[in-house]
Amino acid sequence: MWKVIGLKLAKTIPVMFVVSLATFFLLDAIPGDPAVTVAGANADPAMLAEIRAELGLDRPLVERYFDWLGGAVQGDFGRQLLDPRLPVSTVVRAALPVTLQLSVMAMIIAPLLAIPAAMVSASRPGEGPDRVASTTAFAVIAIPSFLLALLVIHMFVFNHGLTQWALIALLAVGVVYLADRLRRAARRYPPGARGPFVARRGVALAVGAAVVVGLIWVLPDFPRQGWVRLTSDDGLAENLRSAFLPALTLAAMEAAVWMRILRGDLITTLQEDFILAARAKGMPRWRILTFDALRPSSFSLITVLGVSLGRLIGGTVIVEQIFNLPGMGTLMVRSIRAKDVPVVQSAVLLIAVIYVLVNAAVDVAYAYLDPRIRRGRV
Amino acid sequence: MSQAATDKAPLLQVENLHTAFDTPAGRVRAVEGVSFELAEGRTLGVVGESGSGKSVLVRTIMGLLGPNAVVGDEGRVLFDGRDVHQLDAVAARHFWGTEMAMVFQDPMTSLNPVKRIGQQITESIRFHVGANRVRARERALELLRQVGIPEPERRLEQYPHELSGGMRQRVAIAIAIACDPKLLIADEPTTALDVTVQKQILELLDRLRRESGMAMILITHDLGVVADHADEVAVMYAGSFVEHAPTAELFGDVEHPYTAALLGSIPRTDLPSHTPLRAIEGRPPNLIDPPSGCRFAPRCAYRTDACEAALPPLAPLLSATHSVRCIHPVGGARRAAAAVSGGGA
Amino acid sequence: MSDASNARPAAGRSLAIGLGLAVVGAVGTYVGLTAFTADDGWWKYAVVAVAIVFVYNGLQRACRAVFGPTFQFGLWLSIVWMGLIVSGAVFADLLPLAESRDVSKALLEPIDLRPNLFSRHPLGTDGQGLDILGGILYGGRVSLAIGVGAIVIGVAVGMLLGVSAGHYRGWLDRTISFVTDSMLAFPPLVFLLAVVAAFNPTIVTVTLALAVLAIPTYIRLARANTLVHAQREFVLAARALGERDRSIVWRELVPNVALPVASFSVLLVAAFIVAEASLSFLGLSVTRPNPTWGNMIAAAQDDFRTIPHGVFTPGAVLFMTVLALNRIGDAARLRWDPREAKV
Repeated sequence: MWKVIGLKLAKTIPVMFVVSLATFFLLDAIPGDPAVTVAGANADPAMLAEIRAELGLDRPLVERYFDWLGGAVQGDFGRQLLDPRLPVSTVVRAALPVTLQLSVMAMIIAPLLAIPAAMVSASRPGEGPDRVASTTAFAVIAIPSFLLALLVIHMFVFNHGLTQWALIALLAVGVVYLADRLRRAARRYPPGARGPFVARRGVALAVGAAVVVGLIWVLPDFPRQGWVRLTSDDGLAENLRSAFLPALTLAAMEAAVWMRILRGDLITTLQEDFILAARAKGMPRWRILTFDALRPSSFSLITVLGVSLGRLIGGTVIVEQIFNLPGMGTLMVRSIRAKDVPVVQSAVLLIAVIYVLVNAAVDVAYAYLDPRIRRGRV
Repeated sequence: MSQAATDKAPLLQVENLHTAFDTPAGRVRAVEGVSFELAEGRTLGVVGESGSGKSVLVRTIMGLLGPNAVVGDEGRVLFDGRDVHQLDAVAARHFWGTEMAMVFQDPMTSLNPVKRIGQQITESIRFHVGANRVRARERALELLRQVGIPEPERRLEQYPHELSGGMRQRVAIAIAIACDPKLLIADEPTTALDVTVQKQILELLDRLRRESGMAMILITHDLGVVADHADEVAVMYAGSFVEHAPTAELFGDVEHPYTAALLGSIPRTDLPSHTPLRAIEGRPPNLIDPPSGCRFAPRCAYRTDACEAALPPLAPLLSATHSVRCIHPVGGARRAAAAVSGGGA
Repeated sequence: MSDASNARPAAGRSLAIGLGLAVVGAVGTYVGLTAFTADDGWWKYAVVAVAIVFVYNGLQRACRAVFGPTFQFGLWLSIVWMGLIVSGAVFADLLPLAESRDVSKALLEPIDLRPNLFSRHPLGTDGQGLDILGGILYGGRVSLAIGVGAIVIGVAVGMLLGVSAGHYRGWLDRTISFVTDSMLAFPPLVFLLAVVAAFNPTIVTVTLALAVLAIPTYIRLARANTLVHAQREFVLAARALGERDRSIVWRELVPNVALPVASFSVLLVAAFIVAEASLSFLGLSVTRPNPTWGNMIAAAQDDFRTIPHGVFTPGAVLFMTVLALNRIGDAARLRWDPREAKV
């Protein structure tokens, strides 16, 4: 097992090497003099020379690359070109946690949305809930991230009250549907057992609905933009409040993709013989769905998960821009606009490395989940 | 109908079962009017080629069909006197596994590949009987020993792919008998296994049956299997039984042309080499639009116009226990009829 | 089996119901969009949403009555929509549109005008008086040019390399695979940003950047399909007949690989249109005065609260285009690439 992990990590090294090369040379190809970019065309030639020397522009390309790489490995990424000329590592260290927190929150929320929806859809494909869920997922996939973010803002920030009512209306529809299902299921019970069955399920339904209504009621006012740091005075509550909508946007996009894939996989798995055998053992449907069907179906989900995480880490740019969050995305866009090469190089390298490691981790998780691979036989 | 000579009501009564599937091409009539009874402790062997409807028959009996299956209203399945398809939700949940259980053809696909063997056995014990973890594990070990798996403690923790084919099928059998069902349905349990292992599995099934007194329906395409391991044999063709008799009677006096052809097509080692194998001409009928009259008629060497006019009923011709669906049976009944009608043999 | 004599009246009734629903829905949509003011927020969208569902179901029913029960209304609607977008992009210059590019020519136009289908500005105007409908049609040009252009280049290069790798194997395959893996290891949006930082954003540079992103995916797809087909008998048969390698590749392998690639490409065009829109939203793609769907939305987002149509009109067009392409792509995949068909 550890051998597998080690091997996969080792395989990422040549790839990361190529990535670092690409990063370095790509940005080095920017036409124009970076010194002029920083100090302006009318700056003092001596200062220009000083900047050029600091950037090492007078040295050969290859030497500069290894210098940079050597520094990068030790954590020294140079200093930014813009004023105040802070060390790049400081700037990155301020921005990275924001992006990471967003990605992690999105990765937590997305499965909470996608997995139940996929299970409900796959258990009765083609019927009401499946059609609604599948159509919604299909539509969300088609919405670009910035539009989705703007839509989320329009709903939760500008029309807070109306959104609450809309959610309650949706909940009412769901409750009516479930109540009808309950009524039909109760008819399959003998008269004596019917009462307790309905009572049990009915109480569960009522409690669930009450909890959801409560959550909707206390739906807080989310800020249109801005980020409150965990370390600030207002602490965790404010931090979560400012992070929730962006994370929700990201999560919704990923959840839509996951839901479709998981649903397809579940439907395929449910047609396998061992599911039939489990039914022949008398196991109830929901149990089969959760314990027997979910795990074999999760393999392609795991792969997609990796892609999603990579996409998140590399793609929070849009959401950060719209919500004005000081994360890696905003940092990169600002630096790109200002042609602040050292910052862009480091940010890009960092994100690319994380991306590669995440993909490797997904490979490992895949191997762990499939006991056939884990035990050395396929 | 064939019935063991006991006074008790039969364990399983199948009456006039019809099952069809609605497909884009039309309605496929997979089971057409099957009726039989099975007493406790007896084994019924159901023989037929692929597509004869044997698997659909037993899945209908168990109630395990998919959503596009249409079961005719005129049929009934009574198990221990109760109508299987009318069970309420409380009873139905505990019916499968505890009263009726099934072993499937390919244990590689009928066992969950990502779950340990032990868990697959204990989960049904814990669900149906409510045993706690320790007792369920003990019972699982006991079951594995019963089905002849050595080192059961080690096997509990393994996954299906780590076992050989024969052992996997033993595990599947262990799962099936875990809650002491009264009826075990084995759907071609040995088809996916090597010949040497086949014998072991069949003997295992026999032994388990004797020890627990459970009834069994054994489905196979191999006449040799039922000859040694079944009390009664039913030959199935195109959705219905064409011959049904206790084993000795059936092999002693084959009546239906299809059964005769099946027997005749088995390669024999006592004949000279290069003797051509006798296959049955033609192909099984289209189940969406089956021929009127006898379904086997298009392929039958003895057919007459009367055969294609109307579907013959499954009727006991020679003895009360031996039923044939044919108006020109080829065995003793024919000789008897010839003797009655004209003299000479 | 069915009674033909009963089928006709039933179809006629279905048609009537369908058209009826569609009309009700259309009226509801119009009322929803125009009667409610911006302050009514959610109710407006709920009414419009329900009305659209009516229109969709009504038209679907009507079409099924006319064309048969298996008529795929959603698919055909998507094809019609794409036809509109493409023809709008191609013929934009010929249409009587109000000014949508040059601000100096639009000085006298009212700003932030709400959409009014029967006016000079059917979809309204933006904060500078520029016509939104014109912007959408010209923006469509940019989106389609970049999306399709990138795909064409990507397919050409990707398939060439992928089929070669899959057919010849050996060191060629290993090299191409390694380069592909490295390219795929790079986070795509970051790559786009970096390219835009290095080179000024024009239609050509953005197209080339997206093409570079597309190439590794096509290499993988072409290679996988080639490997599958290369083992099939007809390739062996062609070899046995003495066909030269290159001819085998062209005449036997490429046609079989082309279909799955084509169906996947439709989906990738949609993704690229979104990517381009995202870039122009950030101001890193084609900039004004050339309108693109992305920069139109970006310009309108500041007044989003009070003037939502500035965002939602081009947004809706973008959404529908992506939706239509996804629908067509899924249908193409189902027909041409059975391995990848979703349930």
